[in-house]
This record gives sequence, structure tokens and C-alpha cells, in this order.
Amino acid sequence: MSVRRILPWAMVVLALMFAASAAGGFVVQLATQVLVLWCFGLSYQLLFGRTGLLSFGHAVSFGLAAFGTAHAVRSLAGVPVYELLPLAGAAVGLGCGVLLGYPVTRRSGIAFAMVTLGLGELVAACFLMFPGFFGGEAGVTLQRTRVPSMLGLDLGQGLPQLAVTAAWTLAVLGVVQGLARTPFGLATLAVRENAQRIEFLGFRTATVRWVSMLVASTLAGVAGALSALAYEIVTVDAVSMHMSANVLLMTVIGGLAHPLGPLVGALFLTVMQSVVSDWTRAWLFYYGFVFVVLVWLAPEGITGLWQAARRQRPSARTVATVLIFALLLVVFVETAYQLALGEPTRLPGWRHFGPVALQALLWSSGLAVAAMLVRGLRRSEAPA
Amino acid sequence: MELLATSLLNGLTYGFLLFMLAAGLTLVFSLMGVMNFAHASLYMLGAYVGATVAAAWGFVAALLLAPLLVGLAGCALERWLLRPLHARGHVAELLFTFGLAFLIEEAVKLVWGAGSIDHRFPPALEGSLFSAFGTPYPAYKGFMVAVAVASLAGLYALVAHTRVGLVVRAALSHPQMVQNLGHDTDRVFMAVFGLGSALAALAGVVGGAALTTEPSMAAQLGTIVFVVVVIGGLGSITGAFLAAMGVGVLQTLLIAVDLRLSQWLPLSAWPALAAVAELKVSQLAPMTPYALMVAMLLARPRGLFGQREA
Amino acid sequence: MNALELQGLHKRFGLTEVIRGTDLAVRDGERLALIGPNGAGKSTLFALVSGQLAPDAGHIRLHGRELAGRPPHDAARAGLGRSFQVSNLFGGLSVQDNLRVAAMWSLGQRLSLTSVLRRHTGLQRRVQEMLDLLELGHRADTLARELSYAEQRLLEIGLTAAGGARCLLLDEPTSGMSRAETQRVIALVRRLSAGRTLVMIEHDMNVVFDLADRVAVLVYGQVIVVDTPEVVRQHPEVRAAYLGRHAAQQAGHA
Repeated sequence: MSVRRILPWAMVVLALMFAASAAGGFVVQLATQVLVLWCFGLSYQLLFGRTGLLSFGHAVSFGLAAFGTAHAVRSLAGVPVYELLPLAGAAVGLGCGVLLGYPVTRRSGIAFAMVTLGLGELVAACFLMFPGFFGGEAGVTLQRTRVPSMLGLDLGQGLPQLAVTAAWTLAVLGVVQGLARTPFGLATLAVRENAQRIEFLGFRTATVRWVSMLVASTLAGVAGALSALAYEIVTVDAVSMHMSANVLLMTVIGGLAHPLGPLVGALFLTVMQSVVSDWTRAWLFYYGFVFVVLVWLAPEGITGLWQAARRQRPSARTVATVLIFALLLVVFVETAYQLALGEPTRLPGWRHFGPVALQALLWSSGLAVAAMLVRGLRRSEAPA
Repeated sequence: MELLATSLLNGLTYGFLLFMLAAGLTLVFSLMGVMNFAHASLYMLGAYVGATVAAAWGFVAALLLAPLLVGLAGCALERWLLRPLHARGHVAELLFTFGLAFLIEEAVKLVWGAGSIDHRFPPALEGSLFSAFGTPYPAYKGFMVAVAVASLAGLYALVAHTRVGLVVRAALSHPQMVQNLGHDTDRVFMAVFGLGSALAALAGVVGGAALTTEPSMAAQLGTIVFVVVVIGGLGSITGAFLAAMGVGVLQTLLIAVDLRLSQWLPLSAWPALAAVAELKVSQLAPMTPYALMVAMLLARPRGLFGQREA
Repeated sequence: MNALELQGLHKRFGLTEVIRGTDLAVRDGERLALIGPNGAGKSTLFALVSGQLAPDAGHIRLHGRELAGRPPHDAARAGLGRSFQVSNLFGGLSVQDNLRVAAMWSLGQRLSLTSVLRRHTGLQRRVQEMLDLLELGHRADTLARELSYAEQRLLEIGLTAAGGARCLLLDEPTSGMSRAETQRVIALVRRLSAGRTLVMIEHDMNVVFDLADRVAVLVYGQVIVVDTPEVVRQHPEVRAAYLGRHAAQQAGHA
């Protein structure tokens, strides 16, 4: 966990922050959102990427910590400890890991995934039972300026808040990087690779998994706290299956092995959600499509593909195929949407190129099918 | 009393629907180890395709055509997309089917729109079948049960009395051996997956008409079906049946009962639980199946009647 | 003092009793070969001793400690190392990391969240020793799943011994190997078992004669004889078990 290793990351984040502040309040907000998601994704990477535990309920630690932080802000009004508030989130996360982790990590694989699914739904379904904690349908709001900053920052402004979020995210990154170099870090990889063999070498797989869950839940708790402080509201959505699915999708798309993976995933999601959604209604479809394709073809995610591309540059043919396929998909999907909804898509350039591209697509696929049929007929007629 | 009887009837009807879905899922799971997250999406596809076919050619056409189309799609899915993932393990398969479920939901919104669509039973089934304790039991519910029973009887006959069924039964408990004996397990897997998909689609045609046909129907029913499969146990159709009935009846009963928790349990001693005590039992209904599933997975991962562990 | 003692072990699967009252005493520091026809229960015996299976009855004592029915990590922590007939490695980890995992527990580097692995000189030294012994130094950073078959079998043995186990159970270490590779493994096993107790399942009689101090013959879940290789080779019951009673009598007359 040396400072020297974190320094390059810190420089990059600092530069991005300056750029964001120059671009305006909206970008600062987006940047905060991306950082919170990156932090959440890093904790999920530890659980799923390193230890191989596919969890559908990771949002439980995240969301409960968010609620806990919201309540902490209310009770700590006036006490100058703002920068330490994510510790409250970490504590809640740790608690979740301790309580839920032990019985849950005695299972693995599909059983583990199903238990986390059930637990996630259970906690989300409970929200009406404890209105004092969950705040009912409306959720819990907080005013972060109630808790004064330790460093005298004006946290009503976007940029100082971004700075605090960045600092904590970098801290979580540091923890994750550091853990990778410890015996525990190696043990998690070993459990993922061969959970049976490691038992014959003195380790208890269940214990390794439980500690992994504890750490991941604690870090998710930090992310939850950052989320609560950034948005100043926490609703039941924070513990929902939707949030758990989101971190899963995001981390897999970005890449499970590289620490930049969740950042790439978060950027991808944010761009899709904020920019592409203005152009087309199909953005969620594209998002899911990218996920499915990556899972099937490139489970190492975008960062993995980038690393592979650095080792061996992909051929022009591969790149061309991918681009053409992506283009065809967009044309197809946008046309379908247009037909179904009756209104034209707002994808830039569609008005001019769309109909032409569609005709080209129809013609070329017709020709391709015909060519395949002819070839198939030729083959069956050929002498055996 | 009549509330109890009506709830029981409704619960059993719901249970049959759940069983139609759970039977396919547990068969696929036991045979291939794949927990198909997209199973409920196939149910949804069946409802949507069925609605479209019904609008053009009538309800009977929908009952026949929708399961056929979705079943074929299921075969293609298994053959070309799922099979190459076997080598990467169960978690990869689960992840893929999870993404697929997400994608199918978006695709449905793309083609049919984000709202619910009009999908209902033909007027012939709109009357009441009989009256129990003063409450009429709608004919369409009886039809649902009939469809469920008929399709499951067909499934049973297939599994119990044909050669293919014999192979399936053997492969349920000893998949490796079946392969060593030279049977084309690949073909069997594809057929079973297609059959499970068709069954789900059929459930969709009737379920979508009885409930609503909207893009969130898969997500709503999907997790409940998982609960049923987990509780009933892997490799056991009987378990799936009993669990489906149990969950169906339990959920329906809990929603119908108009009692507060405080009337049953002495919770007044703990003021912190005051909000809990004031809760109606009906508000607990949504979380009960999940609580049961979690408890089952922690205590006995094999489920009630399962032969293999998850 | 006996390193390993098996007393009255019984194990059945369903209706079939695979281990039917096995008694065996392995002396401290000796090399014992476990042979027997296919299906005799040799791998099952290893599974019982290493904690993979729990016996229905009987005792397993390692240096006096009762191990019967205890989980695998207990046996490992008590100083037992076990290899697998089919290489059971950490495929996605490098050879070096494989050995690190194997040696970590015994050297005290367990689930520490703070100590840096690479700085632990004791662990580094042990891993380097194993790499030299296995002659896999040049493959230290190769992923285990990218090794050749013979290299994987070597690493398999390496994992078993890296933790400093005092009692090694090797399951067919030379299976599927050429003559040259077998010789290499024999030399390796001889060096590894210096000062340790070794029980080895083997089908290759040359290996048995080369390495073993004593041979135990397991037939239908029972040990029928334990003696030096020469005595065992002549033993009529052993011949009968391998060749069939009739053939054994004929061979005896020849």
C-alpha cells in the first residue's frame, strides 16, 4: 500500500478533476457519480473477480451503508467530521459482511448466487417494515452541509465534494491494490482457481470466502456512504436488485481483472445513461447487448481486450468486422424502434443516412442468405 | 372460511402456473447444471408472441404456435449460444443467461412498447366455471389449470414412457455415465431445453392473459420460480410440484389474510419493533418466498426432494 | 514410532463396501508402495487418510493424532501432503504462485491482510528450493494450465511437498510418463522423501522396486501382505490376486 504506487492514479484523478471543474457543474456531478460507481465496482471486483463469488445481492451492503450514513449525518449535525463519514458506511458494510457473510459463504457457485439473490430481495422487501430506517417510499434525505468539514471546505459546492469523493475512492483503490499483494490476496485467487485443492494445503475455503466477503462488504459500505453524501438522498433503490445488477453489469463490461475495469464500466454506463439516452431509446438494449457479447466472446471485459490488443495488435479485418457488425446492429435496432414507436430516432446522422443504410442492410443480408444457400446446395451436390 | 377456500383455490391455480415454469427450469437445471436466468423471459416471450398471434389468428392458434416458436428459439439458443459456454463452468452460464434476460426484456420493449398490451382469453372463457362458497371461480382459471395439467401429463408420459425419457431420467442422476454409454447427450440436452422453453411459453400464453402482459412480467415471476425450484430440490419434478403448490398457496393466503402481526405474535414488548408489529400479514407476503429460499439454501441446499446439490 | 497407522478402516458406497477392515502401519521415514489390482480401493484409502472422505469405522492416526473423519485442511495442517492421480493444480496461476500457495500455510503466511507476500524471504526461499528440485525454474512464470503433461505432474508433486509435509501420499506419480520422465520423477521423489515418510500408489513395478522399502498389497479393500518388494513378488496370494488363482498355480510350477 505504498504511496508511490497510488501517485500516478492520484495525478490522473487530479487532472480529471480540474478538467471537470472547468467544464461546469453538470460535469462535476457526473464525475462524482462515476467515482462512486468505480468505488462500488472495485469492491465487487474483489468478491467476484478475485474470489469468484458471483453475488446478486452486493447492493445490500452498499444500500444499508448509504442509509446508515444518512442517519449518521442527521445525528452528527454540527460535529466537524465530514471527511470521516464514509467510515460509518464502512462500519455498516462490515456488519453486513459479518452477519450475512458467514452462513452465505459456506455455499459457492450457483447456490451462493441464489442465496445472495434471495437475501437482496428479502432486504429490499423489508423496507416497509422499518420506516424509521428506510424512510418509506420517499427514502431518507440529508443535508451534507449539516456536518462541517474537518478541513474547512465548503461542501455545498460541487468541486470540494468531488475532491472528498475522489480521495476516498483512491483510498479504496489503494486498499484493493495492497490486498492483492498479501497472502490473503493470493489465497482468494487460489480459491477461485481450485477451491478443492487449497483445502489440502491447509486453508479452509469457507474462511477465505468469508474474509473476502467481509472486505468487499466494507468497501461497498464506503461506496454507499459516498453515494449518500453525493446525492443527499437514499431510497430503497439503493438496496434493490436493480443496483446489484448494475454493479455486476458494469464491472463485467469494464473488466474483472484490472483495477481500471470498474472505472471503464462506470464511464461506459454514465455515457450511455446521460448522453446516448438523449439520442435513442435503445440505449439500454445496447448496454445489455454489449454485456452479453462480452460475456460470450471476451469475458475479460473492455480492459482485458485493451490489454490483449496491446500485446498483439488486432488485424484490420477483425476491427473492420466488429465495426461493420456494430453499425448493422445500430441500423437494425433504430429502424425497429422507429417502426414500433412511430417516431424517428434522434441518433445524430440518422436523418440523412438511416434509410439508405437500412436498404443496404436488407439488400446485403438478402444477398448473403442467397449466397449461403447456393453454397450449401453446391456442397450437397458435389461428389462424396 | 369462504375466504380461506377461495384463497386456497386461487393459490392452487397460481401454483399450477408456477409449476409449469418450475418444471422446465428444474429439468434443465438438473440435466445440464444450467440455472437459466432467462427462463422467465421465455415465459414473457410466449405471452407476447401469443398475444400477437391471437390478435391475428385466434387464441387456439396462439396456444399452438407460441410454444412452438419459442421452443425452437430455445433449441437454437442451447445449440449455438449456451453449449459453447459449458466448458467455462456454471457461473459463466448463469452470467450469460442473466444478461440474456436483461436483453430479452429490452428487446420486448423495443418491439411491443414499454406498456402492457392487450392479451386476454377469448370471450368463451370469460364466464364462471362454478361457484365455491358464493364466490364464482372464473372459467379461464379452470382453463389454465387444465392446460397445466395436460401439458404436465404429457411431459410425464414423455419422461416415463419413451426411450428419450429414459435417457433423460438416467442423465438426471448420472450424466457422465449416460454419455459414456454412447447416447447423444447433446441432442437430448437441446431437446430438453427446447421443451422447457416451449412449456414456459405455453405458461406465458395463459399466464399473460390471466395476469398482465407487460415487460416487467418476467422479472416479477422469475425470482419466485427460482424460489420454487430451489425449495423443491434439483432433479425432482415432484419437489417442484409440491414447492410450487406450497408457495402459490402460501403467497395467496398471506395476501388475503387481513391480520396484523401483533395479533399473532407478542411483539409489543419491543418498542423498536412497533412498526413491524403494525404490519399486516399481507405486507409480508412478498418477502416470504425469499425468506424460505434463503433458509433452504443455508440449511439444506439439496432442497426438499433433490438428489444433487446446487 | 509409526508415522501413519490405519486400524480397522471400513468404507462403503451405497451397497458396496470398498474398504473392508484395512490395517496398515507405516514406519517413520520409510518409503511404502501401495499396490493392488484395479478397484482394490487404493485411491479411496488415500481419500480417507487425507480427509476427503470420512470412514464408516476405524482409526487413522498421523504421528499419534487421530484424523479419521476430519476435514482435509486438518490433515494438511497436521503435516500430511497428498497428490492426485489427475493433476489438480491452480490452472490460472503461475508455477511460482502455485508453489507459494502450497507453502504459505506452513510458513505462517495465512490470511494476513497486511503482510506483503513478496517480502517474506522464508517463503521466497522455499519456493526457489522447490523450483530447483522440480527443475521448473525456467517455467516459473508460466501459467500452470500451459505446462506440458509431464511438467504438470511434476508441479503436482511439488504442491504436495512444498508445505513441508512430514508424510507424503503420492497417487501414481509416474502415470502416463515415458521412461526418461519416469526416471526423473524417481530421482525427484527420492530427494523429496529424504527425512519424510512416503506412501505411494504405483502400478509401475520398476518404480516400486527402485524406491520402496516395503510394499503393501491391497486386494478388495483389505491389506493382504506388507513386506519387502522381493518377498511380496513371490507371495502366492499376491500372484493369485493379480493373475487369477489358476494362472498363479501354473506360474508357480513354471
